[in-house]
Amino acid sequence: MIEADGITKTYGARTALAPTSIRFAAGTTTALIGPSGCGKSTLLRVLIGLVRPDAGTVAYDGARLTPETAEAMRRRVGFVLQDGGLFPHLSLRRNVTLLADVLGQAPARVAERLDAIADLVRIPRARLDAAPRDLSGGERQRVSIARALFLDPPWVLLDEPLGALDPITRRGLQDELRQLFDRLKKTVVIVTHDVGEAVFLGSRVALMHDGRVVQEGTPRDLVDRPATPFVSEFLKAQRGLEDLEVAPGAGRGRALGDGGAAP
Amino acid sequence: MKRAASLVLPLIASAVAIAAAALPRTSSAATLTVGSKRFTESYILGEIVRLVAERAGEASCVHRQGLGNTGIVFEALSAGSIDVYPEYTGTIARELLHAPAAKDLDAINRLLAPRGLAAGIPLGFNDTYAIAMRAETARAKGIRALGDLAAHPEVRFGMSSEFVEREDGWPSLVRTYGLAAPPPRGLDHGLAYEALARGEIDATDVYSTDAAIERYGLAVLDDDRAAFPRYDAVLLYRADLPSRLPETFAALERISGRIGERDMRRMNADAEIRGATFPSIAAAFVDGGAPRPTSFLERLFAPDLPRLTAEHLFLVFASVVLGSIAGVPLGLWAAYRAAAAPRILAAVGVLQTIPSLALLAFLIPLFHRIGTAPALTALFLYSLLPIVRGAYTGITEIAPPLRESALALGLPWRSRLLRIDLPLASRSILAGVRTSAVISVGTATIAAFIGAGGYGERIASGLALNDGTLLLAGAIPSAALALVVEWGFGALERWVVPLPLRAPSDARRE
Repeated sequence: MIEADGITKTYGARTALAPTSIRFAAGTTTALIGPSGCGKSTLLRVLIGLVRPDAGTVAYDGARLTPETAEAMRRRVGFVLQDGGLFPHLSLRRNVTLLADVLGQAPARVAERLDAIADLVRIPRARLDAAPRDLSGGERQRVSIARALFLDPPWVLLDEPLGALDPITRRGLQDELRQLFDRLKKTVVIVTHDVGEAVFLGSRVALMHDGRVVQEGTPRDLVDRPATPFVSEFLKAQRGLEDLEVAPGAGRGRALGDGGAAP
Repeated sequence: MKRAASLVLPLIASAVAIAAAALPRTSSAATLTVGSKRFTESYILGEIVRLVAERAGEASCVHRQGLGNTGIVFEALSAGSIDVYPEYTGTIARELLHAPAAKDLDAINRLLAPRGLAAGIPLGFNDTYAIAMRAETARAKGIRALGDLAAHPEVRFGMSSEFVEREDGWPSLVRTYGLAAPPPRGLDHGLAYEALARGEIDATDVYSTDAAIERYGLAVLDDDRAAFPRYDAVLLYRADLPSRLPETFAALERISGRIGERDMRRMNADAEIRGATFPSIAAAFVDGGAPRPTSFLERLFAPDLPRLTAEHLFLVFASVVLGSIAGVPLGLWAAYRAAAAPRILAAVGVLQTIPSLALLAFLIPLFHRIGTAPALTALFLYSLLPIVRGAYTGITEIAPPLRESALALGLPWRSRLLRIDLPLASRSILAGVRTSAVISVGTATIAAFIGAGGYGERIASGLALNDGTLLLAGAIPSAALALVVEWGFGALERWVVPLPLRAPSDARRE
């Protein structure tokens, strides 16, 4: 379980996070959604300690995240950025195994794990010695996910991981991600601005607005029992929601059906 | 990073090796180091001393040309950096010993002895103030000596400002010979010769061995009542020289009295008017005959070229290596500690704006010496700005997602620095070092002005002697070296910077 309690963050006069508290239960996939500037990416960065909150605490299974503990705790949290954040001067192989190498893991074990993880995210082994710039955007995200999962962390945070991809690649990766999350049973927090994606990937959805979590629950909860008019307004503003209401479980609407059924 | 580490060690090792080869050797049993001041006559005499000493076959001889002004060369002699240099009795007594009463060599030597120095071997001429007139005017008026001037009040004087002011100049002349002329207007020395040649004035002050006397065909009036102090050319040397290198000293004694005023004037003119090199003038003096005219290429590839190259390379290399050792960490510090950045960047920026001669003038008293140490310090300080900026820019311009990725992975700071930040910044860091090295090649020419050698030695001499060819013979190798350094860093970049980070043109070539 990840707990964020009473997090506030201001940048000068701008409030990024009003006092915000949220829990991510073990084994769930939660999609953080909300309009641009609502604080969802900031919250994610607070969770991994890249942004230091003005007040409030973050704890992983009860262990507090502090500047002193951050480095060790980050090794148990996978983190994926929108454009992958792959190191351009390292091969894919070195990108993925970097942390394990630095931590002094046995080369044989690292090689074994690399094979397994490459299969998991479907990177051809022959591609492993290429440089990041030789890859397509979708391939880069697979490698980035492989890097995040390499040490088998119990927690995974993703910041708009598919945000920069073309629709076809994006859809394919959405399928793969969902299978991956279902299979690995990790605690996943994924930031997205796309309601369809949120509903498709997330067993739970947290909607943020003006630095606060407005509502958190299953996608169905948000649709059926919106906490504020803003929740309905935001959901309606995006396509997929009409489908969601009209034809659950069919066509694009499978997003709702599957999402609702997910653990 | 392993590659970068394996790069640094050979760099330092070769810098030390070059330093050992290039640094001025201190006097050892088998070496005679001759010094000279920065004007034509001193260069020529220094070269003659070197050649004569070398022919004695006892010691290997080095001539450290044009070390600087009197104070600097005397300092070098006192410190033992040089063994001997040509000097004038009047200068020794007045400027060095502050004892104008010491008129002869015996008196001078009594004062020099406590300092472990001695003066001797009068070369045969007296380079003092003299009054010169156009030869035909003097002949027409029947003026041969200064004593004749009193009978010719119509003679128009045009004197250098210094001569008018100095107690042993105009006032002494008027007093000694009872002249009635009013104090003349001060003129620039060069202009005075022109004015004399055009007939605007009839007489001016000259140094008795000036090449211009020959150029303008002037008559020098005899100073039969000794109005002017004597500046007899002698050798000033370390007192142990005669016992340390007896054969060399004996050979030097044999040139005593061999160089008259007329000879010196001719040799000065050989250099300044006929463009002969100092070694060729010295050879002509020792072996007889006229100095061989030298082509520009001969001057460019003169025998001192390897030494100057080694000295110049050492200055550039050492300053840039030191600059990198200090500058890269400073740049990193500025990049990682945003609060410190403005102060660090401003400090190295300000250093860059200090004029180089002012910085050297400030550093010499700090080191109590001239030569390599203050020159290297100045070059080191100048090398900092591009290097610090390169490192700072390299780190601060790392894309935020890469920075976040490295942090979010949980990499320890050391690994982040060595495996992520430094490789990502390597291109910018190397560009800073490259800029610094290329600039340093140019700035290092300044070092010669304080006796640290390098191509600047020719440039400094060229400037001091108003010899454009010599200046070019120093400037061209310096420019060539800058190109070589530029090219060398291009090669280094291909070796150090990770392939995907290189400039597109480089990457395509691989």
